Amino acid sequence: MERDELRPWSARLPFLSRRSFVGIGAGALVGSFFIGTADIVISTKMGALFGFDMWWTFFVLGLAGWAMMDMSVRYYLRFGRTPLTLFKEAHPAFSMYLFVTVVVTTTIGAYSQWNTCALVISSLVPEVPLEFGGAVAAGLAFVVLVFGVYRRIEKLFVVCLFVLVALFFLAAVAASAPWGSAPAGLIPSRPDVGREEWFKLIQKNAGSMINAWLILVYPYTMLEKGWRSRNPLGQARILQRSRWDYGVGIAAAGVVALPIMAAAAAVARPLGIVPANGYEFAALLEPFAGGWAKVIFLSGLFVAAWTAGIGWIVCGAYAMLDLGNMQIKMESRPFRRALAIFVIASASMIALRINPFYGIQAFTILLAVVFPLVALVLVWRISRPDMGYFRWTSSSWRGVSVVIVDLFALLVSLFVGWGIVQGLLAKLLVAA
Amino acid sequence: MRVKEKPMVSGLAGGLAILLLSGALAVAFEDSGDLGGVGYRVIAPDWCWAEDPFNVLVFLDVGEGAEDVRLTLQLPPEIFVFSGEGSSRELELSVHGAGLHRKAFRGLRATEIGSEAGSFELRIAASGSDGGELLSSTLFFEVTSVRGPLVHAADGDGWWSIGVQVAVAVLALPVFALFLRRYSERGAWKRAVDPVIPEPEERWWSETS
Repeated sequence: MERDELRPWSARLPFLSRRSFVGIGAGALVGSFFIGTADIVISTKMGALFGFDMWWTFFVLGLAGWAMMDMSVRYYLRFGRTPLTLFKEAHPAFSMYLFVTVVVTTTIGAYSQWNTCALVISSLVPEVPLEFGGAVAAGLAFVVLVFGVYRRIEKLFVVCLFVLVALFFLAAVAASAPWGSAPAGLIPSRPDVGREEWFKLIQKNAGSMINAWLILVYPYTMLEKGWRSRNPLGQARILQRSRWDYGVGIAAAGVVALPIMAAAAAVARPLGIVPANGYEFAALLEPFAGGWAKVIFLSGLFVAAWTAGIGWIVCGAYAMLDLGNMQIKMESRPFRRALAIFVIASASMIALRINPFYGIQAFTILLAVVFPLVALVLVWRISRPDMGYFRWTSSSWRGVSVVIVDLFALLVSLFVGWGIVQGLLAKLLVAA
Repeated sequence: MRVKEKPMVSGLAGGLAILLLSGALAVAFEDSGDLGGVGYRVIAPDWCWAEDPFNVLVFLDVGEGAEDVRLTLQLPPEIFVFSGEGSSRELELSVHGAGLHRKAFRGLRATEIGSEAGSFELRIAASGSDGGELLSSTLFFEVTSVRGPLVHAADGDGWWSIGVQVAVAVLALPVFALFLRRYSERGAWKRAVDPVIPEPEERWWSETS
C-alpha cells in the first residue's frame, strides 16, 4: 500500500511481542526525569497532608504528559524530523527562546539534583563538604555518560528505576505503611479540608508530570536507535511500541509515589508535620522505622536525584545538538562537549552554597511560558492536515480519542502555565 | 554491537552498599524513660542545615495514673529560632488523658552556621488528676548547624540568591553560543533540516506490509 493511502488510525496492529512488553528501554530514561527531587517532595507532601487521596493525580496528569510526548513522537515518525525542528518551523523566535530556556533550566535543574545528592551524602556522613559530595555526583554522572554508549545508558536507567522503586517500598514497609487505603487513592476525589493546599499540589504535580521541554526528548532516543520507517504501517508499529515504553516510564512516577506517600501517611501525617524536603522526611522516618529505613530512603533519594541530574544534562545536550542541526548521537564529540559544559556550569553552582529553591524561582518564570508554548506549538503542528496516518480525524473512535487526549494535554499545560503566572503575581503583589 | 552491562550494575550496587554502610554512622539524639506511668521517647537531630527547618519529636505513652503531661522546650540563646507564630524562646506542648500521643516541636531553625553547638533543654512534667505534679524529667541535647552561610541570609528578600544563580546559569549562554558556532553550520538554529538517521540494529517493525 502506498504511503498516506492508509486511512488515519485504521491499522489493525498485532499485540506487542513479549520482548517489547517486558523490555523497557528509553522509557526508563524518561522515568528518570519524572522521578527527581521535586517529585519526591510532592509525593511526601501529598502523603503527609492527604494520605493516599491524591495518588490518582499521577495517572490523570501523567496521561497529559504521555500525550505531549506522543505528539512529538508522531511528528518525528511522520516527517523524520526532530522536536526542535517543529519550533524552527513555527518561528525562529521560538528557537531562540528555547535556546535560553534549555541552557538556564538545564543548568539550574541539574544543579538542584547534584545538590540533593550532596545533601544526602552529608546526611549520612556530615564531615563530607557539600562541594565535594556534589562534585562527586556530577563527576560520576559525566564519567558514566562519556564512557557509556547509548544502549548501556538505557540499561543503567532500567536498573536504577527498579532499585529506587525497591528502596522506597522497603522504607515504606519498615514504616508500617497503611497499604489498605492505597487502592481508594486511585479514585479521583477532593478533600473537605485543605483545598487550597490540595489545589497547589495538583498544579505542582501537573508541572512535574508535563515536564516542560523535557517532554520532547523521546524522539532523540528513537534517533539513537534508528527507529524510523517511511511506511505508515511501520510508523504505526513503532508508535505502538514507543507508547508502551514511555507510558511505563511515566507510570513509574506514580508507582514510585506510592511508597513515598505511604511512608509519609504513616510517619508525618499523625504528627501533623509536612516535611519541606526529602532529608527532613528521612529524619522523621528514623524513630518509626529505625535507622536503616532512613538510610534506605536516603539511598532512594540519592538514586532518584542522580538519575534525574543525568536526565537533565542528557536532554540539555541533545537539545543543543538539535538546535545546531548536528547528528543526534551520544557517542559524538559535540555531545560530550555539551555535557561537559552543563556539568561544569551546574556543579560549580554548588560552591555558591545557595539553596536551589531560589534558582527554581527564576526557573519557574521561564517555565510559565514554556508549558503553554510547547503545548500550543505541538497541537498547532499535529492538527495540520499533512500529518498523514497520524492526522486528526473524527471518522473513527481511535481518531476521536487521540484528539481528546491531545486537547486534554493542551488544557493541562495552560493550567500549569496559568498556575505559575498566578503564583508569581501573588508574590509580586505581596512584595509591593 | 553487544555491550557488557555487568560492570555498570555492579558499580551501582557497590555505590549503594557504600551509602548503606556509611549510613550506619548517622545518628541522632534519642532518649527514652518512664515517669511514673508515663513512658516517653524523644528524638532530635544532632545537626541541621542553616535555614532548613527541623523538628523535635516526642512520643508519650500515658498510663491510667497520669492526667496531663506538659512538655517545655527551651531554645539556646544563640542562632536557633522558632519559625512559627510568636518568637518565644520557650515552646510548650501538652497532652491530656491516657493513651499513646505523638507530638512534635516543629519549625525550629538555625539562622546561620554555628561555631558551637546549641544546647536545647526539654522538660517533661506529668501531673495527676488533682493537678499536682507527679514527676518530671529534664533532657539536654545539642544541635549543630553544619551548612551555610546562605546568601539570602544577608539579603532579606532573597533577590541576591536568585540573581547569583541565574547569573551563573546565564554565563553558560555565551559558552553554548560558541559551541554552536564551532560545531554547527551558520544559521542552523533557524533552519529546519532532516536529521541523519542511523541504520537500526534490527528492523523489528517490518517494512514489507
